[in-house]
Amino acid sequence: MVSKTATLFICLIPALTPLFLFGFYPLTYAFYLSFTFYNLKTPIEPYFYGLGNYFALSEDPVFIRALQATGLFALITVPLITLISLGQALLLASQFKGVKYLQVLALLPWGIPLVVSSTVYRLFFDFNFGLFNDLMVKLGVINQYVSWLSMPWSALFIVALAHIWVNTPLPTLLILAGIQSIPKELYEAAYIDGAKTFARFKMVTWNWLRPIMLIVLVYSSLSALWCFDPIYVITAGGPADFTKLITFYTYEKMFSYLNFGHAGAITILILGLTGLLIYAYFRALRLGRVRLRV
Amino acid sequence: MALNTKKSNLGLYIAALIVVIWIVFPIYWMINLSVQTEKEIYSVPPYYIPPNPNINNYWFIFDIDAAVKYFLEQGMSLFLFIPGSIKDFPRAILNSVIIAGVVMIYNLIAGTLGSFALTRIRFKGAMPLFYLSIVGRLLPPVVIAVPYYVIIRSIGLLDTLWSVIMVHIMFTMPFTIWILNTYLLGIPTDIEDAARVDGYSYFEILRKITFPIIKPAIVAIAITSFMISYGEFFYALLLTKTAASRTIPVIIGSAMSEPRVVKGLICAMGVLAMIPAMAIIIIFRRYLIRGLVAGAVK
Repeated sequence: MVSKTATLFICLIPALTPLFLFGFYPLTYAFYLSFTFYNLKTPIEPYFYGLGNYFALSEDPVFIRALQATGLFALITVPLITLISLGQALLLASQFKGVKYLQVLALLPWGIPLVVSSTVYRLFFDFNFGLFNDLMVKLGVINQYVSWLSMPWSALFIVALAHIWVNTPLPTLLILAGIQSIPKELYEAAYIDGAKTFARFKMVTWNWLRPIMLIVLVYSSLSALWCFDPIYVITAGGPADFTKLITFYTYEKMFSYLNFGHAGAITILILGLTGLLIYAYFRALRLGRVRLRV
Repeated sequence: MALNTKKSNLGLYIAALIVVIWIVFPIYWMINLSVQTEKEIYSVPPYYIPPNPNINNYWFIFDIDAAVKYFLEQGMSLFLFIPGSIKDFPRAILNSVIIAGVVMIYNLIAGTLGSFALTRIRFKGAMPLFYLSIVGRLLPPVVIAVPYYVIIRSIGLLDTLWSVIMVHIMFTMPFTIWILNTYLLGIPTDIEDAARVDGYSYFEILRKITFPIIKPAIVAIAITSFMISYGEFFYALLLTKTAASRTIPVIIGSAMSEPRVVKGLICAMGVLAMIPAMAIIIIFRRYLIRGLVAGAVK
C-alpha cells in the first residue's frame, strides 16, 4: 500500500508540472524580459532597461491603435457572442420536433479550427468572387461590388464574424445547461403570480442564469483579448492598422521587429488587462444581486 | 421553456431555420468551393451550387506534381500560384494527430489523477493548488509566448513536435482540472469513504469506484483537449518552421496569407481539417453535453 504523501505526489506531479514549468516559469521570465533591452535586430547584448520598454510603448502610436482596436473588437464581439448564445440556448431549450438534432448542429462550429472558419469568411467577402457582394447586388442593397476587406469598419466586422462563429457554441452549451437546470416550479409560481412572458424571463431565467452569464462574459472577453487567427488569415492587421489587435501586434513585435523586450512589456500589460477585466466582471455582477429563494 | 406551447411554434421554426443557415452555410460554402475548378471559383457571379462537382482538389493536395501540371495546362492567365507549403499537408495531418493525440492522452491520465487528488485526498494546500490551476486557465496565451519561445530556442527544441505538445498541455490542463473537479465535487463520496474504511488504497478506489462514475466527464475533457490542440494556431505558428512539425492550421493559415493563391486547394484542405473534429462531435455528442455541462455549471 502506497502512503498518502506518495499517492499525492504521484497524482499531482504529472498534472501540475506542465502548469508550473511551461506556465508560471515563463510568466516570471516575461516580467524579466519586459524590464530588459532585448532586440535581436541590434548587435547590443540584452541588458537591464528598467521601465524603458514601457515608455517606448506608451509613445508608440501603433500600440495605442492596437489597444483601441482590441477595445472595439471586444465591444463588438462580447455583446454579440452573449446575445447570440443566449438566443440559441433559449431556442434549443424549447420543445419542438428536431431540437435534438439542432443541439448537435449548434455545437459543430466549436470543432472547426478558427483558421478554417476565417478562411471561409475571407472568401465570402472577397471583392471579385465573394458571395456577399453578389448577394448584396442581387438584393439591391449596393449598386456595384464593394471591397469590404479594405474598408476599416467592415474589415473589423468580418474578423469579428469569423471569431463569433467559432466562439458561440460553448457559451450556448453552458447557458442551455443552465436553463435546463431551472426548477419548473419557479416558472409556475411566476405564472400564477401573473407575470407576463418577458417578466418571467427577467425574474426567473435571467436571475438563475446570472452566474453562468458571468462565465460567458469572462470567456468571451478573454477570447476577444486573445484573438489572433482571424486577423492573421483575413486582414493581417490592415487596412491601416485598424484591425491590428493587441495579440497580432505582439506577434509582429516578436517576429518582424525581433524586439523581445517590447513584446514582453506588451504581454505584461495584457496580463494586467485580463486581471482587471475579470475583477470588474465579478464586481459588476456581484453588486445588486437579487437572491431568489428556491 | 416549459410554458411556451404551440402558440409560438412558427416563430420557433423560423428561429431554428436561421440557426441552421448560420451554422451550415459556411460549412456548405467551403465544400462548395472545394469541388469546383479554379476557373469556376473565379467566375463572377459565384456558383451557389457546383456546376460540375469533382474531387480534383482533394487529389491535388496529396499529389502536388499533378496539381502543378494541371495548372500549367490550364494556362497561367489567372496568375495563380500554388503555395509550396501545400506539399507538406499529408505530413501536417500526421503531425496534428500526433500532437493532439499526445495532448489528449496526457490530459486524460494526468488530469484524472490530479483532480482525484485535489478533491478526494484531504491535504493542506488543495485549495491553493486548485486556484493556481484556475489562474493558469486565465493566463492569456500570448503572455507566455515570448518567454516560451526564448526558452524553447535556448534548449534547442524549436521546430519539434515536443515544443508544441508541451505548451498545448499547459493550456488544456487547467480546463481539464476545472471540469473534472466540479464534476467530482458534485458526486457524494459515501462509497469511496466506505471503501477507504475497508482498507482499499487510493489507487484502487480511483480505478474501481471513481473512474467508472466520472467516465462521461473524462470522455468530455479528452475530446475537448484534443479539439483545442487540434485547432490551435498561434503557438503552432510560432514554434514550427519546417514540414517536420507544422500542423494543419499552420499550413492553411500560411497558405491563406500569401497573395493570389489557389483557392480550391485551400478549401479542400479546410474541408479535410473540419471532418475529424465534426465527426468527433457527432459521435460523442452525449458525452460532450453531459460531461462538459454537468462539470461546468455546478
